[in-house]
Amino acid sequence: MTHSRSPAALSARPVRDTVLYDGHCRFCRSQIALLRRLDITGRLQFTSLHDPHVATTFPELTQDELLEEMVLVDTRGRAWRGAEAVRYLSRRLVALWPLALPLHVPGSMPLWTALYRLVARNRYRIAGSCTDGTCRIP
Amino acid sequence: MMKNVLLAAGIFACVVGVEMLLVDSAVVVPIDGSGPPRTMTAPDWAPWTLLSVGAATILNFANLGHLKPPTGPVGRGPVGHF
Repeated sequence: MTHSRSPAALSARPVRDTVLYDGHCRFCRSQIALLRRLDITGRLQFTSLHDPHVATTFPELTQDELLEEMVLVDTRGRAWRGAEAVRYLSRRLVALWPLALPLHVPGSMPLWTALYRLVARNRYRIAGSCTDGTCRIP
Repeated sequence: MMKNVLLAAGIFACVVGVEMLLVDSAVVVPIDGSGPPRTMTAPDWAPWTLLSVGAATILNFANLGHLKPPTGPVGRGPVGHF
């Protein structure tokens, strides 16, 4: 069964699953804050893609790729992107297990990917952006 | 009859899914000792896919209960079994 495309393998293997998100996006920051609360066991670490350490730790990931969709690098060095990263998170976090059931329905991945990309494209319109400590509200 | 098969298949898929969640890998050893033991590891998504398919099948079973059986001409009662 071809369930999903396999995640890209990176040279870096972080100690904990690392979520790379857009730190300038208010919507993304609020979702990351929610994930932090749900991550009771501390399995995840969160890094803004604008952090200078990201380019040195994950040289295979370009800034354009990271701006397009969220990337999660697991402890085995696999890079999960966009909706697949959300699906991976739904497996890892116990609080998200109810979400895992619809996300794993065979053949439903194109729907989740389209939905994710729609939200990702309009993320600045949803809640605005923040740079240098100043936030712009839409 | 078909309804019960549907329920059984749904429960079976859910049980196997939960088992796969609990068991990381299984070693299969031939009874007659021929050949080396094989380690089987399921992909990460497999238990969740089985659980979602099982849940959908059970929901389908539950929904079938609300369907009315097809009826024949007036006064002759239901036709066939659903």
